[in-house]
Amino acid sequence: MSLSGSTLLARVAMNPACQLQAAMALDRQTRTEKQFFEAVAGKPFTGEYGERDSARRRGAKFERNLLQPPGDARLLREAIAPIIGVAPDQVTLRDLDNEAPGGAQASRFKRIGLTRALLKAALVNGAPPVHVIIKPTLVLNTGISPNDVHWRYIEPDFIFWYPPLQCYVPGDFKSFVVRDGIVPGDKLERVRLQLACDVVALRDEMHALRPGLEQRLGPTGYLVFATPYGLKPDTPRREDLSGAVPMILKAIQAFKAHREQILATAAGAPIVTTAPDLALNYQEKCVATCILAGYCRQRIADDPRLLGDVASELLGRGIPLQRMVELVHGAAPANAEEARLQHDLQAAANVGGTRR
Amino acid sequence: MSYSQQEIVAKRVFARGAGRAIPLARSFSMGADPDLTIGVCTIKIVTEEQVQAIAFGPIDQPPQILTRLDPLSRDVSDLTPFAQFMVTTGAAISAGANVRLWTAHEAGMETIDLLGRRYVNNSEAPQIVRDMGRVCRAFGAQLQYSGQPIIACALEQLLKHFVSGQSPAEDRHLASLVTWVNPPRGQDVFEATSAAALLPASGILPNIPGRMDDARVEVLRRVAKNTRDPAQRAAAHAEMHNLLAAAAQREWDLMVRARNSLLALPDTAPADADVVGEAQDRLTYHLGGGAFSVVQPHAVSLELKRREANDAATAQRAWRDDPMRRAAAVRRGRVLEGEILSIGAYTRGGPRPIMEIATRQPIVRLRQNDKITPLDQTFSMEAEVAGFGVGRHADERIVRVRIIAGFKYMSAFTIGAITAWEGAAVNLIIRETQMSQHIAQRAPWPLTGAPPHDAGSPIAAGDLVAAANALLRP
Repeated sequence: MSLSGSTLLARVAMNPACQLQAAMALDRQTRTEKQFFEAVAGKPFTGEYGERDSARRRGAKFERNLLQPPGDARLLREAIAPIIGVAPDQVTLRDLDNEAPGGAQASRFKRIGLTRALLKAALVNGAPPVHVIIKPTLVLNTGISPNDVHWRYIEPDFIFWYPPLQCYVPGDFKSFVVRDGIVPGDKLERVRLQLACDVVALRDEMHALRPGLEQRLGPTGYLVFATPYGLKPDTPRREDLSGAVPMILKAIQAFKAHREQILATAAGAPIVTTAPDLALNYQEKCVATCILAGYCRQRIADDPRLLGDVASELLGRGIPLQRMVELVHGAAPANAEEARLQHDLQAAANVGGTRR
Repeated sequence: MSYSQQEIVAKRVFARGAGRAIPLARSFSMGADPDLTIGVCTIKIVTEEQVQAIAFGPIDQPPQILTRLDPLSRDVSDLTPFAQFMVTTGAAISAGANVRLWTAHEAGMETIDLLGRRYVNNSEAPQIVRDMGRVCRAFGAQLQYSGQPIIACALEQLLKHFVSGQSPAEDRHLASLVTWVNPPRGQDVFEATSAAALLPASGILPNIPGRMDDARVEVLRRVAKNTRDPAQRAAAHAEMHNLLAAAAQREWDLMVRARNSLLALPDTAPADADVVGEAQDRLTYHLGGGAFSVVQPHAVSLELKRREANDAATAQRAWRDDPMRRAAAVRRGRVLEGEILSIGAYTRGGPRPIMEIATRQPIVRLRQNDKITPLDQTFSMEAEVAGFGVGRHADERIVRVRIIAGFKYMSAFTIGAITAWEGAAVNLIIRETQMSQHIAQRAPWPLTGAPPHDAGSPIAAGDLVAAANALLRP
């Protein structure tokens, strides 16, 4: 799983309190996620990891189909034209990945330059905007050392001129199949956060052009999913990112704070050595989203969090989980608090009975 | 769900100590399987949402397994055996057979539905495959109705009927949950669950160190496509088939284990005949006319009303039929249960008799004038809540119930007996013409059109509380 750009920030946003996750991200230059796991857990990772070939292929095919022919992107133009308010053949377009292809630093800098020139022309100089800019590169203003560049480059799939706001709005391609316009909620959370990163980065670029310009861009972006029928794009969906954008801003602050503490703790030693001293914030969704879930579960071995977020909230952390198990099965309580807990647990567990 | 979050969490703690999942009900809420019960388990290509293997057939027999060596091809004639099976099933339903389709999980059912969408109107597909599409869509449409007895998704049904000693997120792995429901003898349940959860149980091939089946199938597919050596192609096909068939069989086996645990719940009985009849009518209608998504505003309103009524009726049936769910419903105030303290006499032409019920349940979700009916009775009686009072003890309250219909059955109640009442049953026979007219006459502005004209009825000056009380019936 990528730890760069919007993917990293989306992960941090889903669990901003977790220092361990932040350490893994910071250590990205030295070791991969799997290597980080092996270093902290002391054993190889035996679960599924990384994107499947079929998913990668499907994503690439979907994008390629939208952007064919290169520099023309007929399907994308047809999809976006109604939103812009012009006919598809009147949509003007620049494909920056075509003009400066690849992930090399030089290409990236070139795309940054091209993006800024196009933004300035439209937003500052008043030139007729290029309607669609494919693969722009934006720089997120993190407020920390420029050496931490691996997560400052934010690269939306495209941005397009949105007349109601008189500015560009980001869009991402997602090859998930949607039926009746419904996208499963578990898939939407992360893509919304990634789109929110695009918004924050685009606002930073607009602010750099002229302070105050960024006010035009509200918390909004577009997602292009697939229909059940081959690689055809579904109607682009406008996403309300009023919740996601603050989560990203909070994630940036959290990451900066964690970074300071982690580097202070490491004091020059490899970041991975700080793992036992870092705060972890195990949540139920970690099982499906983080390679370190198994390691963290061992560290919180007797914690009600093992029974899920709701249980964690209801049971609190004052009494170990195993003790709760003993109490509900009739062990003699050691004090008034345990007696109260036992009474409540048994009363609730016995509703309807517990036997087969 | 009948249980509160606190109750579920407490049961989870209990289950953890017991080393096995504990039941939330004494009966399988969908009822026993009908005579025509089939199973369909799919293995798909991730994100393509294309089927690459299907295990299918009568539920009580080993499945027929179909593997697709080139699932992205436009040639879908390889689906013919499955298509034939589904079309035959559809014909039996149209001829009046009651059916149930088991699948491993809702994601599997969505794959079946998607298969239907892709081919129902696909002019390039053989007719038998298009007919299969119609049947798959008709089945897929049933999932929208809560309490429907036709589509049984094993994972979701297990989640409704059992609670394990692990987290809800871990419960969503079918093999993990099945292990908790029926832990292997002599083995620690946590170790058994960890082992069971290594391979996915969500209708996809495994891709873990030592079992990179998904990546292997991708390689074999390329080899088979590109090679000119027939022997090499045959070997690639054979290995692909074995990997896909093993995955489909594993999903099938998990589904059957889950099904067996559900049907083994002790009070499981045949499904409610009215519920089955209504669901079968709906399925037959979708088979004949096609399953389409409603999009027009009035049709959406009608459909939402229908589903709302269905949800309420499903919840009521659940606690009527199952003592465990009843206990939870009492605790949550959905059912009023208490001791009869007094019963007023009925005289023709006189005031309607009042029954006083003393209850100690912590919550009573009834308001004055709510219509209620007695549980556990075979006769028809209707009452309304007339008021509340202080009980004989600190934790007791009195609910006064006014009988308004079914007076001749009042002798069934005796002072001192325990009685149970619920909100009046939802009438599932929605008069659709009346509903349509009602909806059409309402101002359409919530969905389309201009806002309604403000009739401008001013709020009367004076005491608002008095004005509100004046609106209440005496």
